[in-house]
Amino acid sequence: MPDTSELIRYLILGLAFGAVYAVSGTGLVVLYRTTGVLNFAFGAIGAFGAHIAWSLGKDGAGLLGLHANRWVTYLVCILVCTLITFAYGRYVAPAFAQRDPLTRALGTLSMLLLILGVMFWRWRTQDARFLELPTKKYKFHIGKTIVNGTQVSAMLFGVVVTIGVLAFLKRSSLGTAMRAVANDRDIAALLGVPVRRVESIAWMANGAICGFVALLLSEMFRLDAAGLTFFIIPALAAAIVGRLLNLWTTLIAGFGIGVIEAELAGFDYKWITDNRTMTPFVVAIAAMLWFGRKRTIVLSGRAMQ
Amino acid sequence: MISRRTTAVLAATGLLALAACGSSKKDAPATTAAPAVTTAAPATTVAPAATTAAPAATTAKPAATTAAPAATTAAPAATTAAAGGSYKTDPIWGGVAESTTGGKCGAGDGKKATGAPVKIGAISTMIPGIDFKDGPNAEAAYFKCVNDNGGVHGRPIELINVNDELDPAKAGAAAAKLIDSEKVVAIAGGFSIIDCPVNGRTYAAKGFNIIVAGVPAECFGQPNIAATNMGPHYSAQGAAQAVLRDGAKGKIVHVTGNNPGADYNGTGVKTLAEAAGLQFEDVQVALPIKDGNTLVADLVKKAGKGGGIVITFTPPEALTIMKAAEDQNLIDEVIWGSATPANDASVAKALSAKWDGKMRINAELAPLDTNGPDMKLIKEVLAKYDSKTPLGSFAQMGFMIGQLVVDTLNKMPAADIDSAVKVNAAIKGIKNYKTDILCRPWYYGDGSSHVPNNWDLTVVPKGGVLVVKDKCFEITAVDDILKGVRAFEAANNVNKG
Repeated sequence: MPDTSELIRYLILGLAFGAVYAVSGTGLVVLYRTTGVLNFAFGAIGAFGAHIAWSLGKDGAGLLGLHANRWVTYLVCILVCTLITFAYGRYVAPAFAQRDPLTRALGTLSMLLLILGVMFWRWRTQDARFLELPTKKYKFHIGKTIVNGTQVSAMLFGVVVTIGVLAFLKRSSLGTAMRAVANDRDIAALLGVPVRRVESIAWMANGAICGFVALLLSEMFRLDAAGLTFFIIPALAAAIVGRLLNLWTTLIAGFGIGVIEAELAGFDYKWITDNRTMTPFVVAIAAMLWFGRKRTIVLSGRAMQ
Repeated sequence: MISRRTTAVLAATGLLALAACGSSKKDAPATTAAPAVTTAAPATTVAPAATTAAPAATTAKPAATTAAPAATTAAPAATTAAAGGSYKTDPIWGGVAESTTGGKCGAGDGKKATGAPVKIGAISTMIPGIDFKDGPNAEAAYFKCVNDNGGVHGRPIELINVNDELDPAKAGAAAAKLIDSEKVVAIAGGFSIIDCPVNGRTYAAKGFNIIVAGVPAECFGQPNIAATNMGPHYSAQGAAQAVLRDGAKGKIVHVTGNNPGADYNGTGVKTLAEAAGLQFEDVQVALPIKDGNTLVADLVKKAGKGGGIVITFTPPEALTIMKAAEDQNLIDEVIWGSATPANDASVAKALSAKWDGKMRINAELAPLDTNGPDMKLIKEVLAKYDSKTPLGSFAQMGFMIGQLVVDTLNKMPAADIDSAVKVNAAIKGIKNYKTDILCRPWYYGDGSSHVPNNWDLTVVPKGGVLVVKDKCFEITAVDDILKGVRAFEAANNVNKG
């Protein structure tokens, strides 16, 4: 068993990294709540935006021989992600609108594979890259652990996004329209809700969150096409715990998965420390079993209890 | 709404399950394996008698190992003489300072090769995440240069490199295609995770003596396979030697990815540590490393203050660990070492000055900024024939394999170079091949196993680049394979220049 100081160290490190799971999971749930689409390409889009930003910066090739200011590159990352999700939401997603949720999700899976292929083709995966943020230089100690500004930013970002989205969905007319579209696209359209516009805005918001998360991860993890793309997995686990509905539960689940995964590193049992990365899967499966108590059966899109 | 959400949750769970399978040992290999391959760099054991004298003793006192290489290189550009011949050594890094081929592409006569091509086969893993294309690309670039300079006895030489896509079935089919359909006269230049274990017996049955850049144990323990590198096992051991030399105490922790065959990576470190009276622990992690901070905290805790940590990872993973150690101010808690894969310019460039001199990276090939005859040539060849392939360990390995093949073919009678039997007999006969890419001359020979590259050096990051810390030193023979190899070298007078 780890001693108290180690438990605290792993708790802090776990919270910092769990924040990324939490923010990503929140991003997934936000889009799902507003469009009914589970965006599997969330990580890939972010990775693409971050690679573009890196290429434009001082460590990359630049553009026409010029290297952009790092703030410009951050903005480009967010813009690229926003544009990609907007394009998908505006021109591709409507084609799946009348299909079942699984088909809609598979549409984003195709986008994931396409983007991943482009990244593997364009950027050498053998090279080590990071996209450093200015927040990293602000550091402070909590016991033996050093916490930097990026980690704090990740934690705050998750909470701020959750509060902001909940307030937006509840209090703004656009938020109400988004909830209406998510509930029933056809009825919302009959009631005069500009469905495609509302969905496009939701996709753009998802892209912006995606860009922010990618920037954080490109420093906290690294700039790695496959790694960033599949960061979607633990985020999905958090979203599943939140049943793709509850933002606060998703946020807490993300933090929780990060903390559990980190705390397990402190145990002296090799089989635990070597396999602690399974935590998201174990948590997701446990959540599904817990939800399964209600014996919900899905037949042709209708739920029977 | 409920049903849509439930369906979506189920879909997400399915994806999670798929991902879970993907993160198992079965699928992870690729990602992890990469590092190992990076490690290539054959160097033959020259061994001035005194240096090689007693590998066993070297194990007990790692510090002694350091002394030997220094002696070898004592006199800058000195000629190291041994029973089998002599060669000049480089004063900076202690490796070979001359080239059997004279730093030329083939005959170097500027005449275009004509006629039917002489076909050389290779099987490599080239998939996203584990892409070794730099090696075969550099070999192909060298062949282009050779074809512009007289070819092989006037004929062009062609590399047919097949991607095994990390699929054993495809690797097996590729070997059959190369040998039976393409009628290649040699298999040389493969950079594969699975070629050796899958096709080793086929090559033996067909009489092919292949040259590879190898990762798994099977690339080093078979009579008909010789690698230009030493692989992650010996490279990690070389890093552990450097860590021990610098005073690691208490415990050595080796960490690598949990890919198939990963157990082999750390066994040399284990034997070495235990022989020195230290504890040992092997840690295998799922890749990619997501949370470097937690992993590093765990590793440092395991090693204890003043202990040693040896990492065997590709540059991106290695950098994740090093960045985390820096962020958590844990660099000076332990003595760090790394297998060859981290010997990469991108690693040094990304590190801050806090790491200067602190990560002992094992290097199996000449430092990239050296300019011996072959190092100068590879830079010229890549610039002219394949500017997209960066100069790095893989490129050095591939280039050298190309040189080995061309030199061997050009030394054979022109009438024999279409005979696979004669070509492979000639390959087996390669002995004391000198190149300034290696610490010691390279050989093949008829030993039961092959680790012709069993000397290497240590580099450390300094000011954004990697600089030599320990000149070429001998990998201590602590396992049966390397003991056998050393005995073979002594008995057959190879690796002597």
